[in-house]
Amino acid sequence: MERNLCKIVLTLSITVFVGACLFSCEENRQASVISYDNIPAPDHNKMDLLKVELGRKLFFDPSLSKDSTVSCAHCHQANYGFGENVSLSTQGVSHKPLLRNSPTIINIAWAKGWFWDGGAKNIESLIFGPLTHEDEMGVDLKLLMRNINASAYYKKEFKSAFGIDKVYSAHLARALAQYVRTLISNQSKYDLYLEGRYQFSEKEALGYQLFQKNCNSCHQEPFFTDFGYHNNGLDNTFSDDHEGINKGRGRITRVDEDLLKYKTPTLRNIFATAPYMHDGRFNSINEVLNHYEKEIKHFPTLDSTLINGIQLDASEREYMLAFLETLMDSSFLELN
Amino acid sequence: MKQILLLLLFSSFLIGCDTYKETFDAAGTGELTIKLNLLHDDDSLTYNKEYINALSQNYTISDFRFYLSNIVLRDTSATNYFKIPESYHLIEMIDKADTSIVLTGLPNHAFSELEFSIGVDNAANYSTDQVGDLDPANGMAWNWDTGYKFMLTEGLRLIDDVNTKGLVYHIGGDANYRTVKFSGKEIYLNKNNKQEIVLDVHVDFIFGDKKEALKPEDQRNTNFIDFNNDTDQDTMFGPNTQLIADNYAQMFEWKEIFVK
Repeated sequence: MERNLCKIVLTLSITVFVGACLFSCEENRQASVISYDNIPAPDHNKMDLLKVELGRKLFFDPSLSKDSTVSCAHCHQANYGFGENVSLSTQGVSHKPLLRNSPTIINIAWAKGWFWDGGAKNIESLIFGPLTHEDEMGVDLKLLMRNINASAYYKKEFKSAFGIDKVYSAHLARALAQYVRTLISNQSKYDLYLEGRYQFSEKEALGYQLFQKNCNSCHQEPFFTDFGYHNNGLDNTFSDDHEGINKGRGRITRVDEDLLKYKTPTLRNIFATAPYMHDGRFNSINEVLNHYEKEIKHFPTLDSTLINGIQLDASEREYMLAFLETLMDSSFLELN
Repeated sequence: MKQILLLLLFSSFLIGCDTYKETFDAAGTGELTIKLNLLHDDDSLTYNKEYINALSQNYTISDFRFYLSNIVLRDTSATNYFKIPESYHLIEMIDKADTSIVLTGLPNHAFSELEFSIGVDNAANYSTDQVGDLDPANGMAWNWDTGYKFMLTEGLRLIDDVNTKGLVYHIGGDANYRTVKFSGKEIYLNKNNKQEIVLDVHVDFIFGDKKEALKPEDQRNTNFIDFNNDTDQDTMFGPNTQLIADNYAQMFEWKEIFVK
């Protein structure tokens, strides 16, 4: 164990060193940050093509659910930015509405916490949430692993990807985590603009300026999220129900400073990812902009940038929408 | 600059390995069994039997599990110790109220202290894609807030003759990790390589040791837990759960060690 640790430390050191060199050569171009070449992954689950491919098969396989009817892809659909077009999904095995909106899966390899409240500390651990939640895929892990080990197909797949004869839930989570890390959106007009291959129209350019002035503090480029947690003025009450799910980030950190905060969602592919917010309460971007303009609810944790709301006149709204349109990535949405 | 960085990295790597050698004892043929007797009121823990806590509240237990982890053996020199690698043991009652951990490949050395922890250290607690006793298929991992339940106690609270309420304590979180030590013991794996330690586990102490009922509160070793406090703050990770963690750190009693 300790000897392995030394090896890991050495490997890490070299990686950091090489990484540092590459970084300085690369001139830190924003566009290159979001790339298949530098997907962050934990040391015990380094990116590997065979594992990604196995993860993709698992992602679309409904036999992972309790009654073999629901796959990950039911609530994470490519054309909706790997999210869903309903506020609260009823596609789980119980068909009871979930308590939060199915989040998009866009460039989440770079996130710092997962789920709307960051309760999952890494993607591998996250996987067990939707897999086992009684209103999502509802599977019993022991039973699932028995079935996977009884499947000649999956036995072979896991053997070639991981070199193992017996499959454990950890391997399942690792393969799925690898696949979702490859769900990368970096082919929008905005990305082309960064590479100098696209010129913003006048409206888009004006919208970009408005965006940088009003939105960029949370929806930071190039991910269009800071992967942080903020109270954007949706509510000013909460309860202890369902393990305090509507306390937001506060139910995870268990400090009052984080009450009603949720992870900033990305604006990439925004027109494909309606409805909006952690509970899908807004159906359109206009409703979202109305909220920021005049519906902010005050609470001690409200983000300081939103105390006076965000006011845009009709033409500014038009420019903003024009800019947001440049964040659409049709190849990611598999619309081509 | 880059050379300095490289040098720094390599030296930290070398230092890391050196520290390790200092405390390393070569593995040997030592074999130690740790037998845990799960007790309630000094009698074998029995599921679904009516019990009374230190505050005279009635309850039953239908499921009891906890992680015993990071077993370390120390000698009297206080510098040499042997840390069992990958030491995570899910203790649960299956069919009978005793269960054993068998450790093999231990150094043939004279040890005087047994140390272990209840819970999962943060290095392992922050990622649940693990195998062995930490496999989330064992039902001890949270799926919405990454980490393990260090101790799980489930049953029923018997409010009166007709009314019952679920009794659910899933205690976890870094603040509830506890370490227990038994010092001044003769764990002489140099003389006899196969030995067994017997520990009593007073499961009832989790809610307070009834024998301390007559003592003033500030002189008790255990905290008396009131079942009426049953919000998430009391039963999962809140500050009140540390009272229970302090209690489970008290529930172990060294009975004996013998040569097998």
